[in-house]
Amino acid sequence: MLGISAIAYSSVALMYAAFFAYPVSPAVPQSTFDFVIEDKEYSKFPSIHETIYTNGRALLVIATVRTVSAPSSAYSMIFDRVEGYAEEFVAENYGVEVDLREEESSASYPFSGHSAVRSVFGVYKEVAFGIEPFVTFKEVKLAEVGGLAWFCDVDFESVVLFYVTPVYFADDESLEALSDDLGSMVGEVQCH
Amino acid sequence: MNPAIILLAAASIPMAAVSLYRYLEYRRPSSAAGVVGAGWSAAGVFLVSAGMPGLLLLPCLLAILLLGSMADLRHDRSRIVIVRTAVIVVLLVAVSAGLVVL
Repeated sequence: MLGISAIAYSSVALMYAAFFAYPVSPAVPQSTFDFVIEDKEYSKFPSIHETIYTNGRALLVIATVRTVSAPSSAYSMIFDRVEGYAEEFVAENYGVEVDLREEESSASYPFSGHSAVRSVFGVYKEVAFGIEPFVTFKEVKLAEVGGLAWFCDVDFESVVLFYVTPVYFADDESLEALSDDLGSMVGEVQCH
Repeated sequence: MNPAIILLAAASIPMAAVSLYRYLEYRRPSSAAGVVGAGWSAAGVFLVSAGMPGLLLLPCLLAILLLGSMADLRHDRSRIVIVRTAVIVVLLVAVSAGLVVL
Protein backbone atom coordinates (compact mmCIF):
# COMPACT_ATOMS: atom_id res chain seq x y z
CA MET A 1 0.00 0.00 0.00
CA LEU A 2 2.89 2.31 0.87
CA GLY A 3 4.36 1.77 -2.60
CA ILE A 4 1.06 2.60 -4.32
CA SER A 5 0.66 5.77 -2.22
CA ALA A 6 4.22 6.85 -3.04
CA ILE A 7 3.56 6.36 -6.76
CA ALA A 8 0.27 8.31 -6.46
CA TYR A 9 1.89 11.26 -4.61
CA SER A 10 4.78 11.31 -7.12
CA SER A 11 2.34 11.34 -10.04
CA VAL A 12 0.43 14.24 -8.48
CA ALA A 13 3.67 16.19 -7.95
CA LEU A 14 4.73 15.52 -11.57
CA MET A 15 1.38 16.68 -12.92
CA TYR A 16 1.51 19.89 -10.87
CA ALA A 17 5.06 20.48 -12.12
CA ALA A 18 3.91 19.93 -15.72
CA PHE A 19 1.00 22.34 -15.15
CA PHE A 20 3.26 25.14 -13.88
CA ALA A 21 5.80 24.52 -16.66
CA TYR A 22 3.21 24.47 -19.47
CA PRO A 23 3.82 27.58 -21.63
CA VAL A 24 1.35 30.44 -21.08
CA SER A 25 -0.64 32.13 -23.85
CA PRO A 26 0.59 35.73 -23.49
CA ALA A 27 -1.97 38.49 -22.89
CA VAL A 28 -1.68 41.22 -25.53
CA PRO A 29 -3.33 44.51 -26.53
CA GLN A 30 -5.93 43.83 -29.21
CA SER A 31 -4.88 46.63 -31.60
CA THR A 32 -1.63 47.24 -33.42
CA PHE A 33 0.53 50.02 -32.04
CA ASP A 34 3.72 51.68 -33.21
CA PHE A 35 5.61 50.69 -30.08
CA VAL A 36 8.69 48.49 -30.22
CA ILE A 37 7.91 45.07 -28.83
CA GLU A 38 10.30 42.93 -26.83
CA ASP A 39 8.89 39.48 -26.38
CA LYS A 40 10.63 36.96 -24.16
CA GLU A 41 10.16 33.94 -21.95
CA TYR A 42 11.05 35.25 -18.51
CA SER A 43 10.93 31.91 -16.74
CA LYS A 44 10.24 28.28 -17.61
CA PHE A 45 9.10 27.19 -14.13
CA PRO A 46 6.63 28.58 -13.45
CA SER A 47 6.01 29.61 -17.03
CA ILE A 48 6.21 33.41 -17.23
CA HIS A 49 6.08 35.36 -20.47
CA GLU A 50 7.03 39.02 -20.61
CA THR A 51 6.12 41.49 -23.36
CA ILE A 52 7.52 45.02 -23.34
CA TYR A 53 6.12 47.81 -25.49
CA THR A 54 8.14 51.01 -25.48
CA ASN A 55 9.07 53.95 -27.67
CA GLY A 56 11.62 55.27 -25.22
CA ARG A 57 9.20 57.68 -23.60
CA ALA A 58 6.26 55.48 -22.61
CA LEU A 59 6.42 51.93 -21.37
CA LEU A 60 4.01 49.03 -21.08
CA VAL A 61 5.11 45.71 -19.56
CA ILE A 62 2.77 42.72 -19.59
CA ALA A 63 3.69 39.58 -17.65
CA THR A 64 1.59 36.44 -18.08
CA VAL A 65 2.21 33.92 -15.30
CA ARG A 66 0.98 30.33 -14.96
CA THR A 67 -0.87 30.26 -11.63
CA VAL A 68 -3.81 28.69 -9.90
CA SER A 69 -6.65 30.96 -8.83
CA ALA A 70 -5.37 33.59 -6.38
CA PRO A 71 -7.20 36.03 -4.09
CA SER A 72 -7.04 39.71 -5.04
CA SER A 73 -4.91 40.39 -1.95
CA ALA A 74 -2.11 38.34 -3.56
CA TYR A 75 -2.07 40.79 -6.47
CA SER A 76 -2.34 43.77 -4.10
CA MET A 77 0.84 42.56 -2.39
CA ILE A 78 2.71 43.01 -5.69
CA PHE A 79 1.59 46.64 -5.93
CA ASP A 80 2.37 47.30 -2.25
CA ARG A 81 6.04 46.78 -3.10
CA VAL A 82 6.10 48.95 -6.21
CA GLU A 83 6.73 52.28 -4.46
CA GLY A 84 9.97 51.30 -2.75
CA TYR A 85 11.22 49.18 -5.64
CA ALA A 86 10.59 51.83 -8.31
CA GLU A 87 12.15 54.64 -6.23
CA GLU A 88 15.25 52.51 -5.65
CA PHE A 89 15.41 51.49 -9.34
CA VAL A 90 15.24 55.10 -10.58
CA ALA A 91 17.81 56.26 -8.00
CA GLU A 92 20.26 53.44 -8.83
CA ASN A 93 19.89 53.55 -12.63
CA TYR A 94 19.34 57.23 -13.32
CA GLY A 95 20.70 58.90 -10.17
CA VAL A 96 17.41 60.76 -9.69
CA GLU A 97 15.53 60.88 -6.40
CA VAL A 98 11.81 60.57 -7.07
CA ASP A 99 8.88 59.99 -4.80
CA LEU A 100 6.20 57.48 -5.82
CA ARG A 101 2.78 57.90 -4.20
CA GLU A 102 -0.24 55.69 -4.60
CA GLU A 103 -3.08 57.89 -5.84
CA GLU A 104 -5.76 55.35 -6.70
CA SER A 105 -6.32 51.72 -5.82
CA SER A 106 -9.11 49.25 -6.29
CA ALA A 107 -9.37 45.56 -5.37
CA SER A 108 -12.19 44.87 -7.82
CA TYR A 109 -11.73 47.03 -10.89
CA PRO A 110 -13.80 45.79 -13.86
CA PHE A 111 -11.30 45.20 -16.65
CA SER A 112 -11.36 43.10 -19.80
CA GLY A 113 -14.26 40.99 -18.52
CA HIS A 114 -12.51 40.23 -15.23
CA SER A 115 -12.28 41.72 -11.77
CA ALA A 116 -8.78 43.20 -11.58
CA VAL A 117 -6.67 44.75 -8.86
CA ARG A 118 -5.60 48.23 -9.91
CA SER A 119 -3.16 50.77 -8.51
CA VAL A 120 -2.08 54.12 -9.92
CA PHE A 121 1.00 55.92 -8.64
CA GLY A 122 2.14 59.47 -9.25
CA VAL A 123 5.89 60.04 -9.76
CA TYR A 124 6.91 63.27 -8.04
CA LYS A 125 10.17 65.21 -7.89
CA GLU A 126 11.23 68.45 -6.24
CA VAL A 127 12.25 70.86 -9.01
CA ALA A 128 14.05 74.20 -8.53
CA PHE A 129 12.48 77.25 -10.17
CA GLY A 130 14.00 80.73 -10.56
CA ILE A 131 17.55 82.11 -10.43
CA GLU A 132 19.79 82.38 -7.34
CA PRO A 133 19.12 83.76 -4.80
CA PHE A 134 15.40 83.60 -5.62
CA VAL A 135 15.18 79.87 -6.13
CA THR A 136 12.01 78.18 -4.97
CA PHE A 137 11.38 74.47 -4.89
CA LYS A 138 8.17 73.01 -6.12
CA GLU A 139 7.03 69.42 -6.25
CA VAL A 140 6.17 68.42 -9.81
CA LYS A 141 4.34 65.35 -11.02
CA LEU A 142 6.64 63.84 -13.64
CA ALA A 143 4.69 60.81 -14.77
CA GLU A 144 2.18 58.19 -13.80
CA VAL A 145 2.86 54.51 -13.09
CA GLY A 146 -0.12 52.18 -13.23
CA GLY A 147 -0.54 48.52 -12.43
CA LEU A 148 -3.32 46.06 -13.19
CA ALA A 149 -3.46 42.37 -12.29
CA TRP A 150 -6.10 39.73 -12.77
CA PHE A 151 -6.67 35.99 -13.06
CA CYS A 152 -7.54 34.66 -16.52
CA ASP A 153 -9.78 31.79 -15.44
CA VAL A 154 -10.10 30.36 -18.97
CA ASP A 155 -6.38 29.58 -19.11
CA PHE A 156 -5.37 29.46 -15.43
CA GLU A 157 -2.97 32.35 -15.89
CA SER A 158 -2.45 35.60 -14.03
CA VAL A 159 -1.73 38.77 -15.95
CA VAL A 160 0.26 41.56 -14.31
CA LEU A 161 0.55 44.75 -16.31
CA PHE A 162 2.58 47.88 -15.60
CA TYR A 163 2.67 51.09 -17.57
CA VAL A 164 4.65 54.29 -17.25
CA THR A 165 3.30 57.37 -18.99
CA PRO A 166 5.66 59.74 -20.80
CA VAL A 167 7.03 62.60 -18.71
CA TYR A 168 4.35 65.29 -18.48
CA PHE A 169 5.07 68.61 -20.16
CA ALA A 170 2.24 71.10 -20.08
CA ASP A 171 2.58 72.35 -23.65
CA ASP A 172 3.81 69.31 -25.53
CA GLU A 173 0.89 67.96 -27.54
CA SER A 174 2.82 65.00 -28.94
CA LEU A 175 3.48 63.70 -25.43
CA GLU A 176 -0.15 64.16 -24.50
CA ALA A 177 -1.12 62.20 -27.62
CA LEU A 178 1.40 59.52 -26.68
CA SER A 179 -0.11 59.34 -23.22
CA ASP A 180 -3.57 58.85 -24.80
CA ASP A 181 -2.17 56.12 -27.07
CA LEU A 182 -0.73 54.36 -24.06
CA GLY A 183 -4.08 54.63 -22.27
CA SER A 184 -5.86 52.98 -25.23
CA MET A 185 -3.21 50.31 -25.41
CA VAL A 186 -3.59 49.43 -21.73
CA GLY A 187 -7.39 49.44 -22.04
CA GLU A 188 -7.27 46.87 -24.82
CA VAL A 189 -5.10 44.24 -23.14
CA GLN A 190 -6.86 40.90 -22.91
CA CYS A 191 -6.05 37.30 -21.99
CA HIS A 192 -4.60 35.65 -25.18
CA MET B 1 -9.48 23.33 -23.89
CA ASN B 2 -6.09 24.45 -22.62
CA PRO B 3 -3.89 21.34 -21.96
CA ALA B 4 -2.62 22.99 -18.74
CA ILE B 5 -6.14 22.85 -17.32
CA ILE B 6 -6.47 19.18 -18.25
CA LEU B 7 -3.13 18.49 -16.51
CA LEU B 8 -4.30 20.28 -13.35
CA ALA B 9 -7.60 18.39 -13.31
CA ALA B 10 -5.82 15.08 -13.98
CA ALA B 11 -3.65 15.61 -10.89
CA SER B 12 -6.64 14.41 -8.83
CA ILE B 13 -6.83 11.04 -10.62
CA PRO B 14 -3.97 9.25 -8.75
CA MET B 15 -5.45 10.25 -5.38
CA ALA B 16 -8.92 9.15 -6.54
CA ALA B 17 -7.44 5.77 -7.55
CA VAL B 18 -5.70 5.29 -4.18
CA SER B 19 -8.83 6.29 -2.26
CA LEU B 20 -10.96 3.95 -4.38
CA TYR B 21 -8.52 1.09 -3.77
CA ARG B 22 -8.61 1.79 -0.01
CA TYR B 23 -12.39 1.95 -0.01
CA LEU B 24 -12.75 -1.37 -1.84
CA GLU B 25 -10.19 -2.92 0.53
CA TYR B 26 -11.32 -1.47 3.92
CA ARG B 27 -14.77 0.09 3.26
CA ARG B 28 -13.94 3.19 5.29
CA PRO B 29 -16.14 6.30 4.81
CA SER B 30 -13.00 8.49 4.70
CA SER B 31 -11.80 6.59 1.62
CA ALA B 32 -15.17 7.16 -0.07
CA ALA B 33 -14.82 10.85 0.85
CA GLY B 34 -11.35 10.77 -0.71
CA VAL B 35 -12.86 9.58 -4.01
CA VAL B 36 -15.58 12.27 -3.84
CA GLY B 37 -13.01 14.92 -2.87
CA ALA B 38 -10.74 13.99 -5.78
CA GLY B 39 -13.76 14.16 -8.10
CA TRP B 40 -14.65 17.59 -6.71
CA SER B 41 -11.04 18.80 -7.22
CA ALA B 42 -11.03 17.64 -10.84
CA ALA B 43 -14.50 19.09 -11.54
CA GLY B 44 -13.56 22.27 -9.65
CA VAL B 45 -10.71 22.99 -12.06
CA PHE B 46 -13.17 22.98 -14.98
CA LEU B 47 -15.73 24.97 -12.95
CA VAL B 48 -13.11 27.64 -12.10
CA SER B 49 -12.18 27.74 -15.77
CA ALA B 50 -15.87 28.37 -16.50
CA GLY B 51 -16.04 31.23 -14.00
CA MET B 52 -16.60 29.74 -10.51
CA PRO B 53 -14.59 31.61 -7.83
CA GLY B 54 -11.48 29.51 -7.25
CA LEU B 55 -11.51 30.33 -3.55
CA LEU B 56 -14.45 27.93 -3.02
CA LEU B 57 -12.43 24.93 -4.16
CA LEU B 58 -10.29 24.23 -1.09
CA PRO B 59 -12.91 24.83 1.68
CA CYS B 60 -15.39 22.52 -0.10
CA LEU B 61 -12.70 19.85 -0.51
CA LEU B 62 -11.79 20.09 3.19
CA ALA B 63 -15.50 19.91 4.15
CA ILE B 64 -15.88 16.68 2.12
CA LEU B 65 -12.78 15.16 3.77
CA LEU B 66 -14.03 16.26 7.21
CA LEU B 67 -17.38 14.55 6.68
CA GLY B 68 -15.56 11.33 5.74
CA SER B 69 -13.22 11.55 8.72
CA MET B 70 -16.10 12.25 11.13
CA ALA B 71 -17.96 9.24 9.75
CA ASP B 72 -14.81 7.16 10.46
CA LEU B 73 -14.87 8.43 14.05
CA ARG B 74 -18.25 6.78 14.66
CA HIS B 75 -16.67 3.32 14.23
CA ASP B 76 -13.04 3.94 15.03
CA ARG B 77 -11.91 6.23 17.85
CA SER B 78 -8.23 5.47 17.46
CA ARG B 79 -5.73 8.27 18.01
CA ILE B 80 -4.80 8.51 14.32
CA VAL B 81 -8.43 9.12 13.25
CA ILE B 82 -8.95 11.72 16.02
CA VAL B 83 -5.73 13.56 15.07
CA ARG B 84 -6.61 13.45 11.34
CA THR B 85 -10.09 14.86 12.02
CA ALA B 86 -8.64 17.60 14.25
CA VAL B 87 -6.08 18.55 11.59
CA ILE B 88 -8.81 18.83 8.93
CA VAL B 89 -10.96 20.97 11.29
CA VAL B 90 -8.01 23.31 11.99
CA LEU B 91 -7.22 23.57 8.26
CA LEU B 92 -10.87 24.24 7.38
CA VAL B 93 -11.17 26.96 10.04
CA ALA B 94 -7.85 28.54 9.00
CA VAL B 95 -8.74 28.49 5.28
CA SER B 96 -12.26 29.86 5.91
CA ALA B 97 -10.92 32.60 8.20
CA GLY B 98 -8.25 33.38 5.60
CA LEU B 99 -10.91 33.77 2.91
CA VAL B 100 -12.86 36.21 5.08
CA VAL B 101 -9.72 38.24 5.85
CA LEU B 102 -8.49 38.20 2.22
